[in-house]
Amino acid sequence: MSTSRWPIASGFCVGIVLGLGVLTAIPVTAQRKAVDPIGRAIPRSSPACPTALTAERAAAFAAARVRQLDYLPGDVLVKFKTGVSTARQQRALSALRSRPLVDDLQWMTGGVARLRESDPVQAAAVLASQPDVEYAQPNYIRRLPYGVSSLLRPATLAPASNITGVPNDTDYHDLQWNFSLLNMPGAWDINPGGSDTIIVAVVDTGVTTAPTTLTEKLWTGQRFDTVSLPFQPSSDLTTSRFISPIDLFFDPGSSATLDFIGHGTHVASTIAEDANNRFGLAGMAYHVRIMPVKVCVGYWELMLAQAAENVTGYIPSDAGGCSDDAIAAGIRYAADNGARVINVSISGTDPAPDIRDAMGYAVSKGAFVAVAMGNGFGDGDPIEYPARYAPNLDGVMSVGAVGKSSTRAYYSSTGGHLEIVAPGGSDRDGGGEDQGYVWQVTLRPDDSDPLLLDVPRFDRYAEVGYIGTSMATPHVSALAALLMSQGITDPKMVEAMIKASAKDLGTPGRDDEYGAGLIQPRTALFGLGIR
Amino acid sequence: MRVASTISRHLVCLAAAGALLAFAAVPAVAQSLTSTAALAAPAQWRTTFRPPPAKRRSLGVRAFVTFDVDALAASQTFQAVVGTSTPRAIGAGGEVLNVWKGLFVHVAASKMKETGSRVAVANGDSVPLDIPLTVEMTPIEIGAGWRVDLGRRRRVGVYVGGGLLHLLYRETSTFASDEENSDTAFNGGFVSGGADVRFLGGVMVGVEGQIRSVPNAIGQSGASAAFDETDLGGATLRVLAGVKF
Repeated sequence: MSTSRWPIASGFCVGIVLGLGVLTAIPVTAQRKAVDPIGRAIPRSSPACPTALTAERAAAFAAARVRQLDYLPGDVLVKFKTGVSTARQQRALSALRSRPLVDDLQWMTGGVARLRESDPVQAAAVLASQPDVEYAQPNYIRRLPYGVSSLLRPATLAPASNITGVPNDTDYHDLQWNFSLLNMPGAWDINPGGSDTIIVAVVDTGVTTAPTTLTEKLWTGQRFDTVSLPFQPSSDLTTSRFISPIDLFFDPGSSATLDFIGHGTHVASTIAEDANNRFGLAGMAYHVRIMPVKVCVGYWELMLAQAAENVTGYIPSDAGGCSDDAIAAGIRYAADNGARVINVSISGTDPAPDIRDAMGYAVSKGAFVAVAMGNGFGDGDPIEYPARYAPNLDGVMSVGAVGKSSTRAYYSSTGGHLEIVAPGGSDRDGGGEDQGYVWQVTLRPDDSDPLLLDVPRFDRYAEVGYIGTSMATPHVSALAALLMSQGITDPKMVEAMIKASAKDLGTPGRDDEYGAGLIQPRTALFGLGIR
Repeated sequence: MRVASTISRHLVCLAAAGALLAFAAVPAVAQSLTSTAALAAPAQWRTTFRPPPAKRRSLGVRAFVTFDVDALAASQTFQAVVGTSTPRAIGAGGEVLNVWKGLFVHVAASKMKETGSRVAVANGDSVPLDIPLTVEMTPIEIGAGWRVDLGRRRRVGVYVGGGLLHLLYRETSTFASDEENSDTAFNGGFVSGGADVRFLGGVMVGVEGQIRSVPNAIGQSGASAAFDETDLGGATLRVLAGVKF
């Protein structure tokens, strides 16, 4: 059934952002009916859903890319100190040359407000200096720290005669060196795939949770064409294991999420891809439930958003990203809706107090958070956020990457804030045919390459190799989910167990390249005896 | 833990004091008796009188069974893993009595077996992981002591002693490889003190306190490392029942 992606959803978005209710995955088609009286899709109302991808917001993403900005032009996020009256908030705002009113603020979760300012960097600095302001920041755009193999393999069903060992997924033994490196079969002996009572939120590009076809207007070079964009869930991620998906960006009114990029699906697959089904590949915690939280958008979402409001032309093919307000809202949503583990394979070089507060909130609600260190080692190895905050938050872990040989991946950021490493893969470590990548079933990259296609599709999957701290992070999230399946409820204890059981690498003891070392799932799950 | 520690301190003091008293008092009493006799005897008797030889206590053997309650020094570790830091043990032993005066030689062994679960530990808190674990400890005591029988009919005996402890230790868990299980032994020591009562037919019952130390047996890894506990000893309260031959 063809549907439009622009429902009237503002009230629903507010409800979701405030964490009012747990939704289960239901067919997306049932939720997509809203059009205006002449049948035109209606853009959402941004005041009620601040993170929604309006054409204006899409243009801001594109402009940020063109102007090489690491924030959304025009956006400032501000948090006033607790208990500050409206009058004092107004006094703080009056320090800005534009003198905005408190009524102009768009309030979001966590007591954070967004306001429009022409120079967000200067405005944030002015606001941050006000005594009633806890922090103020531009609405930074963060990136997904990953790379994709140019090769892919079809996901196939194994012949019955080829079933050997555990798991029996067709290409497990050929491609998933990362699980062998971690002795996952030994870990699965103790805890086979975790429990379906544990929910892992993937704060990312989304995961397609239900089949649908979007019928949308899209700029195709000379004109707007109405195109059909088919979506299918991965055939190696059982849809009944999706719970409470939310799209905070592209389609906030929907009870389903759609992945236009494949990153969210790859991450979710490392955590929970179906296993022992003689098909494709396996995930580490293949019984847990996945909560897709879409906070990142890419080229195609931005093109559709612009086309919906008749904005012509192409945008940079690498435009997009994940804005701080959406990431923070996504983390809070996950914590409020039962996620016990939250995976954040996102990083950037600017401080992120909004995300820091959201992670702290998640831990206070009993959720463990794994965050990517970033891939910036070759770019001067800058400190990246939100990973930088991890050492100060027990229950939040920053994750670096190692390759097939258990040495630090050449791209993996280092520093005193690195806490643990996991397999992130490397194209320089692992042999030919991209054997050193981390392989999972996800969207075929060639089906949505903006440099090759005017009309993409998102309904075909393959085994695709990715590398990055993005890929290392879900290994830690999955281990946390397995530990929680074992009965550990305190995220601080999860972190302590992961660190205590890690295999020390590099300089003896904690170091800036490997943190506490390489995760050892079997050792962590086996726990401690007397001696 | 505080109570166990207090009991331990008291038992140590009691045993030490008892040992001092026993070792100091017996020769002094003998010397005192000899001196008194020499002074009191008439001069002409001095060369001819021989005091009647003290009735030599005959060599004896007693065998007994034991029921122990151990207050383990590694209390946090055992509480977390097997749910108790005061496990029970049963055993048996024997003593050769009156080897020389009140000196006796002691051999005994007991066995403790507890089941529990492997745990996660952090910041002093522990969570069971539902991975079954069994720990067995078999302390073998080899020692000696001094015994004084009291009362007109010498039916009540008090004693102090000490010796070496050879502790057989076995820890097994579901899912464990051979390397991850423990089947080993450690050496330590003990001091003890107690009292018993003999009835007709040589039947005896008694109570005994022991302080045991098996240092550095644990604490290198596992929950004991997390709790920084290194000694497999502790205080033991023992009830004995047996016969004397």
